[in-house]
Amino acid sequence: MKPLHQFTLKFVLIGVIAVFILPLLAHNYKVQVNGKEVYAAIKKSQQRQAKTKTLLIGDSVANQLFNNESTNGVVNSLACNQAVSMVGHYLLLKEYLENNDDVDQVVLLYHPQSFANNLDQEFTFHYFLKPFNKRKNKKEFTELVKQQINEIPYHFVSQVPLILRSNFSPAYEGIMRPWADIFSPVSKQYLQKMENLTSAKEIKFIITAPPVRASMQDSISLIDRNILAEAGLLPLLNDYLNSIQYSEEKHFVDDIHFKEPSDFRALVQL
Amino acid sequence: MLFNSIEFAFFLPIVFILYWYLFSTDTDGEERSTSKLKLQNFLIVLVSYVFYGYWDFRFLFLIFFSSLVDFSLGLQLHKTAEVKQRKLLLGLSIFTNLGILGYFKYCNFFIDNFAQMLTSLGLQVNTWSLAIILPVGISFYTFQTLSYTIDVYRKQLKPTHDIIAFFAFVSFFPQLVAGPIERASHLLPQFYRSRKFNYVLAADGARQALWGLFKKVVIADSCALYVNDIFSNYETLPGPVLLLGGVLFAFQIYGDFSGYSDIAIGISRIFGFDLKRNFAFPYFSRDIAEFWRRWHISLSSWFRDYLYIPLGGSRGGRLIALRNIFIIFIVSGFWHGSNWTFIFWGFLNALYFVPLFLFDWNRNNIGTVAPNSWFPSFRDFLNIGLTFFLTVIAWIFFRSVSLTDAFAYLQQMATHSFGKQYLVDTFNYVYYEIFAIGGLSLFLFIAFMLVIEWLQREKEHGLELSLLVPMNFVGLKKSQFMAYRWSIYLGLISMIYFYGKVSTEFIYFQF
Repeated sequence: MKPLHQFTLKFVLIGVIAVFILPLLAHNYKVQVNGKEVYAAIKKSQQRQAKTKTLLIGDSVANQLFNNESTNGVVNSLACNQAVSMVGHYLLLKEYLENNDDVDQVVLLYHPQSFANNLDQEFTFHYFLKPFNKRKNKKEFTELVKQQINEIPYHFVSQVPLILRSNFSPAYEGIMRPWADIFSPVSKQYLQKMENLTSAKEIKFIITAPPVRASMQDSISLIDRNILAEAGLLPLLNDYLNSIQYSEEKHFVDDIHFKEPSDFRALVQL
Repeated sequence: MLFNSIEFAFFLPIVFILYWYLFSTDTDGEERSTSKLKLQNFLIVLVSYVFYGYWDFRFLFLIFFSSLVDFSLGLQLHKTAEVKQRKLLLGLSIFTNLGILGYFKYCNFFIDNFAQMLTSLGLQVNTWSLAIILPVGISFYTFQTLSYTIDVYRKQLKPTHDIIAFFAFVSFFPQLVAGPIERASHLLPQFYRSRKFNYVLAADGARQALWGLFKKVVIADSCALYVNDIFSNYETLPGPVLLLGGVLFAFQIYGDFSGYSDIAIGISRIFGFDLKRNFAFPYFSRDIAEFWRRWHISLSSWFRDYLYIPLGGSRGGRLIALRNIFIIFIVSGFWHGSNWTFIFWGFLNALYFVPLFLFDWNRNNIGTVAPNSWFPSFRDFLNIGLTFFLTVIAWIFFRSVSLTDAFAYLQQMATHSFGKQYLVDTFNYVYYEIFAIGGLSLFLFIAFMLVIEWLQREKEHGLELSLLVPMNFVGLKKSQFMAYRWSIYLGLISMIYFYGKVSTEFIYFQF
């Protein structure tokens, strides 16, 4: 064999090892990959939990309050991260309800800002595409979702084993949504789908907010209820918007997360 | 584009196939025509511009402009015999190159410092800064192209008439953004020759690139996590942790920069090019003079040849030599960035160097430490430790955001080290903030790197094949020997895969 061909062959061999064989060997190795709460939620959604009556889904604030690894009883948590978007939450909910038929109510515990996710964030590739852009889920994607996915750079390599097992995420940033229209089109569509899914199974569906920083009150008051009414979501969200509680700045480590989550757990009505 | 990115993982094989299969000049039995070579060189220019333009295509014009100016001036210099006119042409090249560098890299520094000076004199000024983006690698390619015109001016090099070769020399993608800074006399002629695929060279290059990637993504990027935390919170941390921060930064910058150089040199070898060595295991140096002969060799030698010697070097007496030493160290610091921290870093290294120079000890340690021996002598061991400690202190200035921070860091390190509470705090930090989140592996990797590089200290790089030669003495068959080698490669790939961080920028890009 010519030296060049010999070298090329070895090059390809190393490439195959790096791209395919190592990821297969590392099937259960997720320590290095960010967002383990998402994978924990997916795993839980596939399991049966007979005693659960209230299923909680939500963002990272919800996961702070009701950690999905430790909340496994009558109240069961699949809360993970807003970066999975409402589509991800919907897929978790659907999977869980397919495996469990004893649930009485589903609670979506969600910070108002989290509704802005339109699958166009920096973390969408890592938190949504990698865990959810699977063949089996694609039938649940609306045209809008497919369109948003196509906008993400390198979306087509999201299921390559090497990519799946790495923290690779291309630089990508969507537009900032104004507070008046903070509920993104994707969120609106999948809130509707959640409501349809739960009502078909005669399960109560509640959307509630964790306590929010007092400084956000002015911004939240800008939310235009007419827009929600046009989307047919006002009946679902009216109580949500009216019941938001505000807390002092000193309780937060950043814009939305709590310093001491345990102090606020009791404030959430389930 | 970063070497440690997914994009590059696609880019490199594509370029490899185009270069060696479609545009090859290595055609057995067929006459190697000049046009084929030009086409292959043109491919290098094209892919290099894609490589650079992937970061920001707008700055391609700077490389293009710089290349065009120096190519033209080189030809003009050759045609002109008159000294005054030659000086003018050289001045034009220096003015253009350093002008571009000065504008993009140092403009805001001078504006800010000028404004501060006026303010301190009691004059009210409105401070403003230009919104300038620093083009990646500008200091590297500017120095590379500048060396060409200076060499032509000195008549040490004949100018090239091959514009494609010259553009390829300036923009050669493996070393475009972070060196090694190549001399035209070494690299340019390699673009005139048709390149035949050399398996031994390419395989060694691949090994060197693999070693560089390990140093970058496993050592440097893992160190960065802890270094960033320690340097951001130094006011609250005990002294030993701050010392650890300095030590980890020393390994971070070494892994980052020498890792980049190894990848650059390794990839160049795969394409049939030989680049100059840039690092020679500097942390095994026994004094600062030796350290500077082993650290960023291409820059040190650039300053030696184009600044220190023209200034008179050590020929004009001790005082002149001392002045020149301070000039090159300070300029070298300033080359790294427009911040007083870099200038002080250069100054401090000059202070370290001066006693060696005054006592004529600066060439005491020329050869490799402890040749043909497993361990260094006790004296060498102490000298290596002391030199490393001095570089760590200097690196603290290099890493700090401002001089005030650097001095405060050192003060905190000195005053918060002795006492039971500081030891308890140190233990808590190391245990909970480093070991508990998987940091133990980092220390093992650093130890692994040091052991391999110690064993290889007489070689060009950490994975040069002769590392494996001792295994022949224990009677391994050829197939066993191959299995042993491949287990090293796969072990490194696994470490990169499991512990590496993807797409973290190289520190030296900003310089």
